[in-house]
Amino acid sequence: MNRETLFYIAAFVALVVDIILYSIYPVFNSSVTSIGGLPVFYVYQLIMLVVSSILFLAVSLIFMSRRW
Amino acid sequence: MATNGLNIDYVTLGVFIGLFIVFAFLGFYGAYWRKGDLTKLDEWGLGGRRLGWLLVWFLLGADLFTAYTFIAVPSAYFANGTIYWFAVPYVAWGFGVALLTMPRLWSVAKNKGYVTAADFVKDRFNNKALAIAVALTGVVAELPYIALQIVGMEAVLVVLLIGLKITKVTYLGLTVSELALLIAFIILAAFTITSGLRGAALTGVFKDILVWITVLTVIIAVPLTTGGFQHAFATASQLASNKTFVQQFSSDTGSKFSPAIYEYLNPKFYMAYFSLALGSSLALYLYPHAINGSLSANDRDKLKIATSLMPIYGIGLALISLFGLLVYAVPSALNFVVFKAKTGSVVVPALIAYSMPDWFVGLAFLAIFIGGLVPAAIMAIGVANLLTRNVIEEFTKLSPTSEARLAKILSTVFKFVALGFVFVVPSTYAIQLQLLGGIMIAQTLPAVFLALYTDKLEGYSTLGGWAAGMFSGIFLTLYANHFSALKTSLFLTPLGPMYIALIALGINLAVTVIGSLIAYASGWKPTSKITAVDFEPQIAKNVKQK
Repeated sequence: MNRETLFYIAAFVALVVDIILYSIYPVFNSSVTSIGGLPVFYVYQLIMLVVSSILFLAVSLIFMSRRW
Repeated sequence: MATNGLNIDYVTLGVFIGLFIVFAFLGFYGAYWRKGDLTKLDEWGLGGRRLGWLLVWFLLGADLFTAYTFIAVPSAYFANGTIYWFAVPYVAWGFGVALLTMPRLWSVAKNKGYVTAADFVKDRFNNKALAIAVALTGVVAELPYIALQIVGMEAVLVVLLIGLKITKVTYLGLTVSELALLIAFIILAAFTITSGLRGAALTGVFKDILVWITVLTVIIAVPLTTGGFQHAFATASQLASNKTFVQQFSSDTGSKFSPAIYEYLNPKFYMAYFSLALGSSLALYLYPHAINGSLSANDRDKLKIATSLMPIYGIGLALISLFGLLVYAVPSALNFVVFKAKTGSVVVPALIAYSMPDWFVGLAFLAIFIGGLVPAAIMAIGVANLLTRNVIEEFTKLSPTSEARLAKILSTVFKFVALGFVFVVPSTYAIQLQLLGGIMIAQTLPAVFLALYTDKLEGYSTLGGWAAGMFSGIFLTLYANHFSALKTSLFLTPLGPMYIALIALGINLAVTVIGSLIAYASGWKPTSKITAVDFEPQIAKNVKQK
């Protein structure tokens, strides 16, 4: 399997993981106050934006076509 | 008088106009920056494909920080509560979808010289009718999205003019706000024509710098001076039992959720939240302007990095939407929104005007104003590329020079067509304009995204799927809104309210797949003009070196 195919498989897995992490509502749908006076509901999803970027960036850097 | 406490004066206006002059200068300067032959369509429309990853990041971000972010999401969130925070997972997933599709489209576009998604569809399916359908869907779906940008610019001008106590002057039968919009549009049209995507990229950087300054300053200053989010939550729940407030609030916003819940998501709306986020994220990179931004990258590794980093940009969107809650911590701003302006669309400009000094208000207002202008330019360019290349040229052959000239004229025409939209749409529901665009553009997913991975879909079946998706999507939208003004994009299913884009896409996929299976059974074989090699990055490099 070539590097490009691996990249797309990894990107797909990363997206599915991201969708699951954003959809486990019973886990983070809470009005308990957290950082900055914001409920967990908001803080979790804000942190997830950074996590998403790290996840996608890791896939992009690991399977960069130039290094091949 | 209710305008007391609005920190808007002639200093605000001076800063606003001064920065607008800088903005206009950058737009014109774009034409001379990294000079290319602007009479050719891909030079004007794609910046000569020479933009680096940071600029591509900014350009993609310019698509994200639009009136959707500043006006539509905070307004919907203010009026209906947590459900409209779906925009946050939408942003994260949207760029995941982009990572899966855009590098692949970039390679094939580079190898085969494509400018639009419809170019790709035409060769992939060997089917002109499907390509024209995809192009026309792009054109039509962009119009409400451009209209949303105009609603955003109008919201800023309304607050600015009320603050300057200019509310009743009329000229040529137009209100001052309409007149100002018209002038802004003429300037935009002028610089879009002379500088194309280069102008939009440079002004995009300028806009985003102002946006980040505004967002970070307000999100730190307001909670510090007003008792923070906890105070805002407490006021919101107190006001939920105040009859006068709730009555006025629901008559302004027409919200079914009044008083809106902000602390958590009502479990009844899990499916609505999930489907709005998923449907919007699938639609995001089917829009002509988003594809245009991606194709302007100078190599696909840079495109991958820029796309991966986009969810970080989304933090700005998430913070701005919270302005819709922070407004509860500033009673004068809340009164202004509910009792004076009577529309959720001014929630962000009102919060800024009541809590920041006059000069800063000028800067922030300009950021929001050009936050509508720049994306409107990028979208109009995308639409013009599409209509010229994929519809008009299917019927008549044009020289490269007249192709570019026609695209420029069309980009101007579209901006004015969209301008007309604004006057028939209630502003609190501006987000519905974008969601309607999403329902339509999502129907091109099988022809564009799936076709990047398979040549097994038959052209006329895909066209049939598209037609079924468009028809069902538009019909369900009309039905859910009782055939009157657009207030919802959700349809009640046994699983709960669901975003119509996903339902229509399901119907579309079913028709496409079943049709293709029937075609196979009757002896059809794929006749794509694109082979697996055309998706390879190595070929793209060779073409570039030539």
